[in-house]
Amino acid sequence: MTDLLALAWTFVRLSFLAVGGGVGVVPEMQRQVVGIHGWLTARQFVDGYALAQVTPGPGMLVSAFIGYRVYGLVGAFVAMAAMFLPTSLLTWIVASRWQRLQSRPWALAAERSLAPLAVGLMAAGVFTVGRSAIADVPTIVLAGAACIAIAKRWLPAVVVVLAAGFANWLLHV
Amino acid sequence: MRQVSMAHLIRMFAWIGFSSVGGGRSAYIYDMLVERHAWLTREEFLPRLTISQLLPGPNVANLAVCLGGWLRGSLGAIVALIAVIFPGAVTIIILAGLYFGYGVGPDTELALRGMGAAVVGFLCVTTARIGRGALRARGAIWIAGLTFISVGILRMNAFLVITLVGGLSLWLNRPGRSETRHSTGSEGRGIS
Repeated sequence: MTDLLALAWTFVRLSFLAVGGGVGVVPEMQRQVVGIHGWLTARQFVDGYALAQVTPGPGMLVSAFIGYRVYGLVGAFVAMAAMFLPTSLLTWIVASRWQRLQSRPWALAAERSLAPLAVGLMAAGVFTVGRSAIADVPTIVLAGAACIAIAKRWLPAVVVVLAAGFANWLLHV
Repeated sequence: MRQVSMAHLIRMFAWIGFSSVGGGRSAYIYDMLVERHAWLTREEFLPRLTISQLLPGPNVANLAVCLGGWLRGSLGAIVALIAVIFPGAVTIIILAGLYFGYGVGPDTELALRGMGAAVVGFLCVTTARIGRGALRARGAIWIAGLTFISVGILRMNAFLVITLVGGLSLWLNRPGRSETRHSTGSEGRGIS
């Protein structure tokens, strides 16, 4: 029960950190679930994050993966609800009043000033995932190749990620 | 805006949830709802995209709430949110069950390593694409750099960093300062 409460509280707080998309929240998520609570190892965290990227839906469904580890099916639902419901409620409240808020000078200032913060958080997220995921020469090469293939729009990201998994397997057989 | 039935809403958002693999698929939602099905106009879509990016929370979920709510009221917002999450939630829970229940064999382990590496490449590209459009505000590069170093490298508490650096950024961009390099709001942001 304490685990469930800690899980819910952790993901509610994390969800409010996700400004400008999910990646920015990754460093704090890893700090919380790996470092502070010890729910997963760093390796399991990266595996879960990679799985959430290649499965349908928002990448933040990694919360269900972590919740499942902590408290099974119930844990998965609690973590997901904590991740998605409070911020969705906030969005709905603001969205239904946006017509009036939009023209306020502070709304524009907030929009302008949060963008670079979100980019910094995203970069930190990439760095955090990279620190665990890039371990040897094959992973460096695969990350670089994926970067080029996706930047040049040769293939959809999900195909590239799945192909990289296959390639890494082939390299070691 | 078109009159959309609840069944259509569920089917549309479940399909978006199912087919938006890799996260950050606002462009895909735009294409489906505005271009292909004309459920709403570009002018109705863009401010809602801005809100869902500006507010905390996963972007796709926020966008589903905004659009579902606009099309069918509060119930529409709830239904769109659940529909967009559901397919992925089922998938990830099954995978988590396999991963933690049976463990991973050496082959799967290697595949996961390769996938993890490629995800890093994918994230680099996404961050660069978004960063290009977002770093136009006053002191933006410094704010982004400061955030990156404190959260990414120094592993500082992100709540603290967002409060302090966000406050600084807001002050630098406070209303009334001359806005020579001012971005054009939602229209200038582009669709990521």
